[in-house]
Amino acid sequence: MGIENILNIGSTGITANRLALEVTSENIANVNTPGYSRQRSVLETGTTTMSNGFPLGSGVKLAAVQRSYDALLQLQMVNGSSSYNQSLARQTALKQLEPLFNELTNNGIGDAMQQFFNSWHDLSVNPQGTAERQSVMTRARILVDNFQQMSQGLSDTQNNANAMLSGITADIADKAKNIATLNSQIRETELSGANANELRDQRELLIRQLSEKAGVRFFEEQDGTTSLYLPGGQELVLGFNYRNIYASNENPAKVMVSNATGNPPPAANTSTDIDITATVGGANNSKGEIGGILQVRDSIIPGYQDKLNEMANVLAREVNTLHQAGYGLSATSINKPFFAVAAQNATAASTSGSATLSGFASLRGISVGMQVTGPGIPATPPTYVAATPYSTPPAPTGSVTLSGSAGAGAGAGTFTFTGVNSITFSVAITDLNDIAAAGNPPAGTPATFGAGNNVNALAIADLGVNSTLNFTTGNSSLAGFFNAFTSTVGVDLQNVNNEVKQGEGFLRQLNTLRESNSGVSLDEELTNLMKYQRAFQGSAKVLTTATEMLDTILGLVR
Amino acid sequence: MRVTQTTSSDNALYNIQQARTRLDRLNDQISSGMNILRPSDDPISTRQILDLENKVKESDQYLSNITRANLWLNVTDTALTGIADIAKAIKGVASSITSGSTDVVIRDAAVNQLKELRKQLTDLANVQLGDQYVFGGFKNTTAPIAGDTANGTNVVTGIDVTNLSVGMTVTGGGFPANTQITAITSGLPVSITLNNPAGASAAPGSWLTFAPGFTAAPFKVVEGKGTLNGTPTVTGLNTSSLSVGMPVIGEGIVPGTTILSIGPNPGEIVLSAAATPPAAPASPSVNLLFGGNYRGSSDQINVNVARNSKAAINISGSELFSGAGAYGNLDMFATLDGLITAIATNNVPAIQTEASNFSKATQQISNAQGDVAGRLIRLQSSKNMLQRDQNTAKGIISDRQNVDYAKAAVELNQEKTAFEAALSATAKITQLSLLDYLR
Repeated sequence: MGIENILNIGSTGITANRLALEVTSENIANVNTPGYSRQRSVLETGTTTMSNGFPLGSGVKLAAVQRSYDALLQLQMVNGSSSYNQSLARQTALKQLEPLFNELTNNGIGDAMQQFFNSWHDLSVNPQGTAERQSVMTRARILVDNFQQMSQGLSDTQNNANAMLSGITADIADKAKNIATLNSQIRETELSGANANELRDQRELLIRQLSEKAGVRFFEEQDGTTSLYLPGGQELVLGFNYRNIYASNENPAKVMVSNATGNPPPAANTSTDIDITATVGGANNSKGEIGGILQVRDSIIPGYQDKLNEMANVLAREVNTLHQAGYGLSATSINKPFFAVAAQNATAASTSGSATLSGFASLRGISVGMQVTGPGIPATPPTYVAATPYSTPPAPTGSVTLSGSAGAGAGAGTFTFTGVNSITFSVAITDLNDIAAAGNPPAGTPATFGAGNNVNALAIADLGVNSTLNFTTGNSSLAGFFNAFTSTVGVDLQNVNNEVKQGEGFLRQLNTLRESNSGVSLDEELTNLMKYQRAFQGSAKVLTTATEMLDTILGLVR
Repeated sequence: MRVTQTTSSDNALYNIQQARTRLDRLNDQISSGMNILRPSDDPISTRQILDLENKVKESDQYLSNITRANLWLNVTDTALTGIADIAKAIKGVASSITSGSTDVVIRDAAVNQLKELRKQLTDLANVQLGDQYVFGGFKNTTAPIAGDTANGTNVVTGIDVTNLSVGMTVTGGGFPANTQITAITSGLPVSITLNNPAGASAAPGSWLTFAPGFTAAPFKVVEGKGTLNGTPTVTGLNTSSLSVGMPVIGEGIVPGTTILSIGPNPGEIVLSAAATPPAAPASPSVNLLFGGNYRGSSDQINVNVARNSKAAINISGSELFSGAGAYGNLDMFATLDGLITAIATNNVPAIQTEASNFSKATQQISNAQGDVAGRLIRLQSSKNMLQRDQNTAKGIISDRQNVDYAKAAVELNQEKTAFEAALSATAKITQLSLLDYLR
């Protein structure tokens, strides 16, 4: 014990404070690094020895470099950003769609439909007028154009969503791979006794970023690695291994994941890989951007298309029924449909007492509102398609719901679907003389039938305000149905806007909490900087003092 | 809770963003003048506004229908006033000669005056609105006329040439495209000559359509010349546009005579009564007038004047002239023709009967006028109701949709102040750093 002891203590002070200064400067340098958690130097006294009957310390040592990290907060942030990004993806898609329905500032289907019926009113006042007939034709064309445009707009958004899947899945796969790599680095670093604070920060940031894309669950294993699980239970990352996730090359694309983990994982093989579309998407599991996009593609837009198709079908059916009962101006203009309606056959099976048709090979072209005939399907009242499945790609054994149940004679066979599709909706009439303004003809050829007869034009004009048309949502007028539809889109978007706002607030709160816990405060670090600098200077002074003391003693000897 | 610079700057950014959003929304509202710009702003109000807007547009259409109906009824009313005047004039002529006259000159003058009035009456009965005959019921435009066409000939007989002119295009009856009228013979037999002969599909009674602008009058008066021989049989007529039951008037024809049968010989008709006095082929032929043949339909033309409410806009000629409806039971033209014949033949009892019959015409016309007036009043009240409804709907829309500028301006000011405060505070706070005080 002696002056060397002072020198020793001084040198531990210099070393410890230098290290602390290093940690502080690392914090300052990373003040803006995303995902960085601030680190603290934990200093502790050296071992105590007894000297001259007194316990004396042997200086200071850096016991640990601690990382400020809250596992619960990380979990909440992962969940929060999954929900938030799901809402955000839906909001983006719905905001794209909203202008299609914005009848407040633009003229869309609602206005076109009213103009169409108004043109029939005008025709009723002058049934033989060429201008009035032309106007009916023009309005009808504008109306079907509007239907087609809206349908096209919906499909475009759906296709966009579909196209985005491959980018998102590639991103997820990339992040899974990086997490697996980090897992192995962290394990190796920590096995060698070193700390892997920065690597852990990176991994946690990656997990948070991955949770923005898809809903995942994660667990930290005992060896320091983190395992990630997809909503369907498949491990996305397990230790150093991970799975490949990709979107299949079709429309609508399936989200596929390789059937085993590996590093690298097995190459993509659509025949053996697992289809997880329904578990990462779907109504109940939708999380993250991918969940939101799948919901838009498979549920929201098909729902809107159903409504649009139903409206087109009701419009075409009601107008055609009246139009076919009327008479045009020329001898051949009898029993002409106004809108083009097609019939298609499909093989399926009905069950007595059930309103479901099942066993379709493909549901393509079958839309809500089409009239169905076939084994066991009652003709009176007519049976319509009430719902088609939202889940895409269409399952080979798809089924549709009908407005009524099958009765006697139900079974497998050929079913005929008659109606229109909003995307191919068109006007069948080409000759203005074929527009049937006249009705209830007296006996005689149509040619002697008064051209001033406006009975049918009145009937069709009245259809515009007929509020007892049969929709799956109940009786309504066409305009009422469309306005309710518009309002539904508004409610959907309003809800998702609120969800986004709430998610934003929640995430902000979590970020504030994380920042409060793990964020670098420059004021704090500058203070620390000064603190450790002074301590370093003090320790240096101790060394100088000890040296002087040694000099003094050596001087005594001289 | 630790607060770091990042926390402060994040919060400042978030709050500035929120304030910007609110400012932007206010700006949107003020610049567009609308409270609700997108369905998602307020879905429930959106639905109500759209429903109300539909109602307003629907009412606009009904108002347009009412304007059109008013036009029809006003034209009808004007025609009815003219018809009433003519009826009065006819009554005047009839009353001046109730006891007949042995003087042929006086009788001829009266007959000619009545014939002139009859033509005027026909003109008024054929009054048109655009290309529609207002008294024609449903058959108010393109009632085609039958023509006798035969393969290989370019002459069509048996048609009413009143409205035809040289140069008109003819379709139907076996004629090729671009067939035109090259000549019209209005003397008997009435015929038109075309520039092309008819083809194989030509047949008697074919339908011909004339363009441009041809319309057939609902009232048709066929004048023909035939030979009277003291029997009910008249020969030498073009019979193609005549039909059994048509009233016939003319020299020597007993009032109330109708066509009993047509044929069997070409150009021959048999009347319900023999011509009197002695069938006088004083001249080889006499003028005969076939009339009272209402060719319109008795239908009412309805238009929508409010939701599920229709109003008739026309008065059918069958009701007004043929006495087939609620206005009265006088066949105006037949009675007038009877009167003309009676005067021509100086048949005093017949003159008195027919004159007294015709006096009912005034009542019949005035009934129709009353009906028209009633409908006009109904239209007016419908219009008022629609406008009231429309105003109410517009009021509600405006209440929901129109921006209260005063309120919005105040809000904008508040938001602006708040925004400026946020900016200024952010600028000050973010500058604070311990670094400034360290040396």
